[in-house]
Amino acid sequence: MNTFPAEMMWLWPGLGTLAASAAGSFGIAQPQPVRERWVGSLLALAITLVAAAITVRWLRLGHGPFFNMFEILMSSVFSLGTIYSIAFWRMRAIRPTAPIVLALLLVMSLWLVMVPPADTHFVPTYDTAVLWFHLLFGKLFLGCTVIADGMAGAILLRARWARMFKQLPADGALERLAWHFMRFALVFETLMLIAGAVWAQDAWGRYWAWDPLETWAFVTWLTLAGAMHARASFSLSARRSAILILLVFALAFLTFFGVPFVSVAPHKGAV
Amino acid sequence: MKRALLFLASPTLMLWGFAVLGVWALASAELTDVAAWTLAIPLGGLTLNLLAAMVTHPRLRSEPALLAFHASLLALLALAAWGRLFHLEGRVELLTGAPFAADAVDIVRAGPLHRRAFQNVQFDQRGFTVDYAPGVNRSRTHSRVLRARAAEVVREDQPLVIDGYRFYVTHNKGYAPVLTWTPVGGSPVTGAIHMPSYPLFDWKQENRWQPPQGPDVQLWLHLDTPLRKDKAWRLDSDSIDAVLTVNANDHRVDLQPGESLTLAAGTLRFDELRGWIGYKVFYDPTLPWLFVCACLAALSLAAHAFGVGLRGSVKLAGNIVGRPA
Repeated sequence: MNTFPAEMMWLWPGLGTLAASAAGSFGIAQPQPVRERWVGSLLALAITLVAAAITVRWLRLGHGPFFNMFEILMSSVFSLGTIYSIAFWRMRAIRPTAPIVLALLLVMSLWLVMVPPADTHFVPTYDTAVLWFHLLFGKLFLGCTVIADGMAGAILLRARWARMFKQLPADGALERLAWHFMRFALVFETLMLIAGAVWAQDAWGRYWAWDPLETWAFVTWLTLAGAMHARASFSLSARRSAILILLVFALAFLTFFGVPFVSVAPHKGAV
Repeated sequence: MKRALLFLASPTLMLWGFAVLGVWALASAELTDVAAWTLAIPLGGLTLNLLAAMVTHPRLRSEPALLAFHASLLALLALAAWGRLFHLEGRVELLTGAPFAADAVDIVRAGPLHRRAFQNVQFDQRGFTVDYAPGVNRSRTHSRVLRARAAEVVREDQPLVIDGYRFYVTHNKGYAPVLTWTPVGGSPVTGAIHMPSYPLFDWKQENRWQPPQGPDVQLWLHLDTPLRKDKAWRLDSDSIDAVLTVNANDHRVDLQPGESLTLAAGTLRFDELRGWIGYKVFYDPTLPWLFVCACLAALSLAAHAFGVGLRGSVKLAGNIVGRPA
């Protein structure tokens, strides 16, 4: 095994830049366009450096970052950072949620630093175009959930730190915007499950087998669908609604990172 | 009647149904003895709930995309249930150079209405290759078959599909010495003895065989080329060189292909060494329809979310810019 893989030369500066972006984001309490631009630019630079690290590793191993915890975390920091970065630049109103989302990305980055960057072997069942759709939809699902999670977190936290999130819209408007993203998240998770079933049928001869990752992804889908129905059927307060979003996010996080953490492969037993 | 419908359509009942289904899913993943039929309880309840909601809930009927999504979900449930009645899951080990033998299929699960039409499936197994990366990491498998006089290749991403039966290559494969036992004054009997999977059981290439009216024979296979763990290599069923150690009636000899062992009761001949490869067999007539329904569900959900939702979010985002709490 390579003890200091070449991609670390790009990854560590990338994660350092992300940490700087996260630290800077805590100052977006006041309307400061210059600071916002700095935070956004640092985030974009961090994503670019992590993308370079992924590219170097990809060229070195000959396959994408699909297999072990190091690769899953690295690709997720990149994809979630990219999706949030787009939302950050496109929707100025949600920029004050950056401390929450970037703190989350920072936690993932710290986890990534602690995981051994072991080389992986490309297994033949992953050599299919369907995998790309499965991954793309999965990343978009988690990205939408993370954006909504930032808004939900702000709704809950501003009872205590009102000054920090005072630039954000009122709770009701923020909650509605967060649920728009959750609605998109449901679409992407549905597509992820379909693409995953097509892949599983071709790769392992079954479209569904209740393996741990399938099960938790399905439970997350059920929880998200249930939360949307609950919100539509009962008059929930913005805070309760925000708690539902955080619950879905917690399940999604457990599915994407908890199950691979305890399994020998993302789909345990089905390599 | 209306009161019963309203009760059935209640969102509280639906949420309980979701909760029970979620618990079932987690239990089935963690416990091995959860009966599959118990899944019908939460799914049946949710189906009734959805049907009642479609009748009583005006919003569900007034939004075509939302209605199409829920109708697609119902169709998916119905198709999945229908598929379970007719499905089959099995496995089979095929000898290179031999035809597919339906009797050799080990059925793992089969629906009560499955008609076992795989008895009519015909193809011949030819050789196979498996590439290995350093560290005995399995890469591509290419299994050649002959079907209606046409050659086909079965790979990890390309099953062999005949009459709806799908044959998937597995990691399971190995060597099979072909032996002929000729008893004194009797007719010869030929058998292929599948050795344990290779290279998984590289250290244990042994088996036993007792031909009709013959002795109990112990077999050990010694490959001429030892397993390469540190470099890339290819397992090729068509180019295998090995020595077969045979122990029968306390006579222990090493045989090359074509050599024989003569005993008091007859002669045991090591004809040749072939390969065997394992397939997973899968049959579900609803597969293409499940895919169509799943796509319809996703499309209608997307139409609902991106149509109504996107317009709403853009409007909302535009409205809330510069209007802090």
